[in-house]
Amino acid sequence: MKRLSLKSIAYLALILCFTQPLFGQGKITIEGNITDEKNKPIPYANIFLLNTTDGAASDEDGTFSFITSQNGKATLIASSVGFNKFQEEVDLIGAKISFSIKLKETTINLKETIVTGSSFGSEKEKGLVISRIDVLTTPGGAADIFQSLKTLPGLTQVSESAELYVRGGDPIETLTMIDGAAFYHPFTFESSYGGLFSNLNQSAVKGIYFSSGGFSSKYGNVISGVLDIETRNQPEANRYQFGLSLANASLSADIPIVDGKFGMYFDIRQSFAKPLFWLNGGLDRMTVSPVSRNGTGGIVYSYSQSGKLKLFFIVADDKQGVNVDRPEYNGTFNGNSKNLFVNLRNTDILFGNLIMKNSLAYNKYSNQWLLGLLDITKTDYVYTFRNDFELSLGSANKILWGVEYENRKVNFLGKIPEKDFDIRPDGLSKNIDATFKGSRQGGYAEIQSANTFNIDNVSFAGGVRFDNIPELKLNWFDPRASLGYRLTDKSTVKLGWGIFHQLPDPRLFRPEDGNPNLKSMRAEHYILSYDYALDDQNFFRVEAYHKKYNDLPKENNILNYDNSGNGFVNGVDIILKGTLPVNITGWISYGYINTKRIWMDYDELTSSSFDITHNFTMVLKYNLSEYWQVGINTKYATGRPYTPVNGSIYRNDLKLFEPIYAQTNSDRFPDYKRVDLRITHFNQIFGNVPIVVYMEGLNMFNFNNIFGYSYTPDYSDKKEVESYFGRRMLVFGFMLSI
Amino acid sequence: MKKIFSKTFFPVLFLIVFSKITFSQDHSVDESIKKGISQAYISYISYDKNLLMEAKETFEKALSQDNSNTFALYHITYCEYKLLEMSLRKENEGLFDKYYDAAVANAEKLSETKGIGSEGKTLLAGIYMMKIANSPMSAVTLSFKIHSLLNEAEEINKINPRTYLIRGTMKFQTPAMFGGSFEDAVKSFTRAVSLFEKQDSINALEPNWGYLEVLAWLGKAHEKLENYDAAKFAYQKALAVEPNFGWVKSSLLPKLEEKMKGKN
Repeated sequence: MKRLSLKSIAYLALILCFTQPLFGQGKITIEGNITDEKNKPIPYANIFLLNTTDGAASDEDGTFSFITSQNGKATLIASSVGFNKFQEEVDLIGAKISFSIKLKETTINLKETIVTGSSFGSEKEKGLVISRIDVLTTPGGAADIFQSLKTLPGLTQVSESAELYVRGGDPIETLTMIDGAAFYHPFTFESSYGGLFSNLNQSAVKGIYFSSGGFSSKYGNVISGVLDIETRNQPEANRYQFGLSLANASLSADIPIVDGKFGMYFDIRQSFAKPLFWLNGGLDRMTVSPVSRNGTGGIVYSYSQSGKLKLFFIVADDKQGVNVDRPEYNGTFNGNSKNLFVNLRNTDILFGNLIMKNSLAYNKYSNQWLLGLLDITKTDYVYTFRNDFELSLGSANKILWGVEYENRKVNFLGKIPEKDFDIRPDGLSKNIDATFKGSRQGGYAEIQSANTFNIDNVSFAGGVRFDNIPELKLNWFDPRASLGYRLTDKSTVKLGWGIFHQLPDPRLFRPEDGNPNLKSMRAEHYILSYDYALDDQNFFRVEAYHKKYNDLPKENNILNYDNSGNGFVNGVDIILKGTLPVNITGWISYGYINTKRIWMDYDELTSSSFDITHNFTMVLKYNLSEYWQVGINTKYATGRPYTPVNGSIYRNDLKLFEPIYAQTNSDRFPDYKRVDLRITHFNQIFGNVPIVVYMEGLNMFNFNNIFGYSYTPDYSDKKEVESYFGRRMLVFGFMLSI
Repeated sequence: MKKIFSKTFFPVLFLIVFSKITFSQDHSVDESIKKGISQAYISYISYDKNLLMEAKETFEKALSQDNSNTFALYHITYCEYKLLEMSLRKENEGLFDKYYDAAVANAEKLSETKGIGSEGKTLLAGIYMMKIANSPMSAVTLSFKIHSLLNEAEEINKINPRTYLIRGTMKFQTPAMFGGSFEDAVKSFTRAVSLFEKQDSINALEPNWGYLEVLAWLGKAHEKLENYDAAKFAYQKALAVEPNFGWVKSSLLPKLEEKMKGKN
C-alpha cells in the first residue's frame, strides 16, 4: 500500500479545515422549555424564528424542539394565548442551543378573575354565560331579552311583566343601559302592572352583562341590579329576515356598505295581539287589543383599526285598552306610549393600552293612562353623556375611571283621583302639572388586580363613585369592593360589598302629592358566592346575600313623603347550567328570599310586595334531530304578598264604600305555576332559504295564575283577575332568512 | 402427463390463480384510493371543484370493487365534506343540497365503524359545521351536537389532529356572543399542528389531510388577534410545505403583508 506523503496529508488537512465549517453549517437544533412566571409548563405555545419557517409548538409538558438551517443572528419569538409575546435576538451557533423561555400573563386573565359576584353575561369574561341562543330559544320567553333573563336566579317572579324584580327590589331599582347610556323605559305596554315586553330587539344585541348585586362603581344611581347591553357592530354580510306569528310581524336587514368598515342594520316589528287572543280567548277583556310598533337600528363606522362610531336608535309606540272591574267603577283602561332613544357611541384605544369609550344619548318617552277620572300623561326627557377609560398597568392590574352627566326632565300633566278608591269620572280629582327637573354629575374610579399583593389566585376590585345632584342639593359617595379567590382552576369564591344610592321615582317629587325635597335611597350589599365551572357549557353557582335598605320614601302626613323608610333582604340563589343525561341542555335555578320593608304606605316593617319566598325555574332543551328542537320552561314561585280588604264603610259624602285594609301585605296570592312548551323546526325552502317554524304552548297545564282581585262594590266579595297568561295559550309563527 | 395433472394440480392451480386475482384486485383498489388521495390533494390546493368530483369518482370506483373498504368510504365522505365547503361560494350554490344528506349518512356510518370512529365523528362534526354555514339558524340544534361529536372523537383518539382542526374552526367561525373565541381557536389549531408534526408515518390509505389547512386557519386566527408575526410564520410554513397552496399564496399571505405594511 502506498503511504500518504506528508504533502498529501497537509493538503487533506487543509481541505478538511475549509470544508468542515461548510458541513458544520448544516442544521442547528433549537430546543428548550416554555413556562409561565410560576414555572408551570405552557403547552401548545408557538415558538419560531422570525422571517423563517423554522419553529414548533410546545408539547404538553412545555418542551419544544425544532431544527433550523439559519446561522448567526436571528430573532426568536414565542407566543401563547393569554401571555405577552416573547421576542429575543439570539446567536445561532453550534449544533444545539437550549432556551428556557418564561412568558408573562396578559390582562386577558384579569377578565376571568375580576368578574364581580352575582353577574351573568353573554361572553365568558362577563360571568356565567347566558348566550343569545339561550335568549332566542327559551320557551315562553318570546325571544325577549327581559323575559328570558327572568329565568335566572336573583330575579323574582312578582308578575308576568318583563320588568326585572331583582332580589327583593322594585323594578325601578334596576338600571338598563345601552352602550353606556341609561334607558329608563325599555318596555312596551307600560302600565301599573309593568311593561310586558322589551323595546330592544335581541337581534341588535352583541353582548349582555347582568348583575343582581355588588356591581362595579361604574354604575351609579341604582341600588339593586344592572343590565348593561352592548349593541352589535357592523354586519359582515347582507341578510334579510322576515318573521310572522300570531302576535307579531317583523322585518330585519343587515346591510354592509364597506366591508369591515361601514354598515347598517335595522329591525322593524309590529305586534298585534288580536289573533292571539281570538284563538286563545281573552278578546272580551280588550277594548283595544294591544298593538305596538317598534323600530331598532344602527349605523356603525370603523374609522380605524381600533376606533368605532355607532349610532343606535329605538323608535316605538304602543296602545292598549282593557276592561277593568273596580268596586266603584267598571270601565276601560286605555294606555298608549311613545319612545325615542338615540345614542352615539365612540370607542377607541389611545396610546396602545388606554381604552376610551364615550356615549351621548337622548331619550324621550311619553305615556298616557286613562281610567275613569284618571287621565295622566307623563313625559320623560333624558340627556346623558358618559366618558369611560380603562388603563392596563402591566399584565395584572387595571385602572378604570369615568364621568357621567345626566339631565332629566319628567313632566306629569293631567288629573288624578283624590282618593285611590274612587276613580269614578265624577269623583274628586286633583289637577297635576308638575315637572321634576334635575341633573346628575357623577364620577368613579376603580382598580382591578389579579394576584393582589402577589398572593396567588387572589383578585381584587375596589372603587368609589361620587354623584352630585345640584338641584336637590344632594350628593353621595359610594365605596364598593370585591375579592375573589381561585380555589382551583375550576372553582372560585367571591366576596362582594358595596354602598349604593339612587333617587326615588320622579313622581314622588311632585309638589301636589309628593315632596320635592326627598333625598336619595340607600342600599348596602353583602355577597358571598361560590362558582364551579367544569367548562364553557357546565356551570354551578351558589350565592348568599344580604341587602340593607335605608332612606326609602315613606308616606308622611305633612310632607306627603319623607325618607324614613328602611328594609332588608336576605337570600340564597343557586343555578346549575349545563348538559344533563341524554343530551338535554339547559339550566335549573332556585332562589330563596326573605325581605321586609317599611316604606310608601306601609305602617310597619312587613313583607314587601316583592317578597317571593321561593323562585324555581327549569329551562330544558332537547334536539330531536338537527331539524327539530323541543324545550320546556317550568316556573314555580311563592304567591306574591298583597293587602287584603277586611271590610268597608259606606261614605255618605262620596256615595260609595271605602275599603278597610288589613295589615299591609298580610296575605298572599296563590302560588304561581306555569309550564311552557316549545317545538321548533329548522329547514330550508326554495332551495336554500332557511326557515324556522315554531309552536309554543304557554301555561300548558292551564294553571290559574292571578295578578289581583276585583271586589264587589261593598267589598264583601271578590273575584280573581287573570294574569296575562292566566290561561293556556297557543302561539305559532315562522321566520325566513335570505 | 398423468403425473403432471395429479389430484393436487388443479386445486393448487386454482389457489394460485385465485390469490393472484384477489391480490390484483386489492392492489388495484389500493392504487385507486391512492390515486384519489392525490387528486383530492391537488383539488384542495388549487380549490378545484371538478378535480374534487373526479377524486370522488375514483374513490367510488374503488368502493364498488370492494364495498367493505372503509378507507374508500372515508375518502368519499371527505370529498363530500369538501364539496359542501365549496358550495358556500356563490358560484357553487347548488352543490350543498346535492351532497349534504349523503355526506351525513356516510359520516354516521364511519362514526360507528371500529378503527375509524374518531375520524368519522370528526368528519361528521365538520359536515354539520358546513350546514350551519349554509343555514345559520341550524346552529341552535347542531352546535351542541358538534361539541358532543368532537368530545367523543377526542375520547376515542386523543391524538387525532383533525379533531382539533375542526374544533378550532368551530371556535373561529362562531361569534363570541354564541361562545366563539379566537384565543381558543389558536389553542386548538396549535395543538393540531403539533400533532401533525409529531405523528408517526401512517398507512398511505389512512386519513392524512388537514396539515396545510390547519396552518392556514392558525394564521387567520393569529391575524384576528393581531399576532401578525405568528400569522406570517404559519402562512409561510404552509407555503414551504406546498408552494402552490392557492388559498395562502394568492389570498391570505398577500393580504397579511399589506396589513403589516399599513401598520408600520
